[in-house]
Amino acid sequence: MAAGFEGFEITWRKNVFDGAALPRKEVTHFGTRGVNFRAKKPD
Amino acid sequence: MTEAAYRDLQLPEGSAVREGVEETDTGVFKTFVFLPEVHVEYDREAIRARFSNDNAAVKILRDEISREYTEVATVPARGYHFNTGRAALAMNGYQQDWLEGIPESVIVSFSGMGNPFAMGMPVDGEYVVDIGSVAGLDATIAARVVGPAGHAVGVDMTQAMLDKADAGKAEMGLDQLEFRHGFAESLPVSNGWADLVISNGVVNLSPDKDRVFKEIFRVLRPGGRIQIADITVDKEIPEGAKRDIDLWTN
Repeated sequence: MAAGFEGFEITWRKNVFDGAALPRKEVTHFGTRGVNFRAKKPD
Repeated sequence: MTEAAYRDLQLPEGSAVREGVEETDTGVFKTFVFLPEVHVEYDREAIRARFSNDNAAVKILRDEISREYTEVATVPARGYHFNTGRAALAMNGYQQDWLEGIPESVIVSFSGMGNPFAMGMPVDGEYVVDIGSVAGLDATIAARVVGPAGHAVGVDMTQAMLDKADAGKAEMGLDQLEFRHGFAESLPVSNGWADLVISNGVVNLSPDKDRVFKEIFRVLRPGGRIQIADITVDKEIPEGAKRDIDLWTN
């Protein structure tokens, strides 16, 4: 990860576009997913 | 090139050459393809300048994103390609007790892509920055948790969202909550101020994500954390799609 962070971790991944009122085909085509991630600036 | 040409060329020692065989009407020839080593020097300052607000393309992109999120602020029930409000909050795992007492006007314009608090809540007295705070939900949750000894700053570039967030703050009476106009690439926060930086569905909208993370690094204290929700893709985005402004904003 850029900029010197450490401990980068993706903790969750989900199709958060599911059920949207105006679905777009690109979400399926590119496999777009919502993610949660964390990292830390070194001490 | 042919074998004779290869010998005559006297390439520098260590040059990469791929050997092969080519069959033609006049015979079979041994071939040599010279693979020159190419050094590309990136002018990072020139790249940065491309993404300043003086750049017309960046300004157009920001204006289009602001236009879209002004709609989310003012007409949240219109329907979008992403989920909003309580439907999005439930999908992203927000706990009901986090939302209690927060004005519905703030909740309905939530448009996050995940849940920064799923990776841990801030603690009492901490300083938190929310990049792209939209109507202020995540910053408000953080402000309540850090309490009067802490502080939460939401940063957003869309005035309609800032207005909505400020109205929600006034309704809740949280002195430790503040909203500032600004951009993810140039945060209006001093060096080393924050214990925690959160963001929800915003970094993907920046044309210069590297710069965004450098800004986050700058505003964090040593040992500070980032807890970010955003989007990823499984396939590389082709250049044509990157130039499609509708895919950035819609």
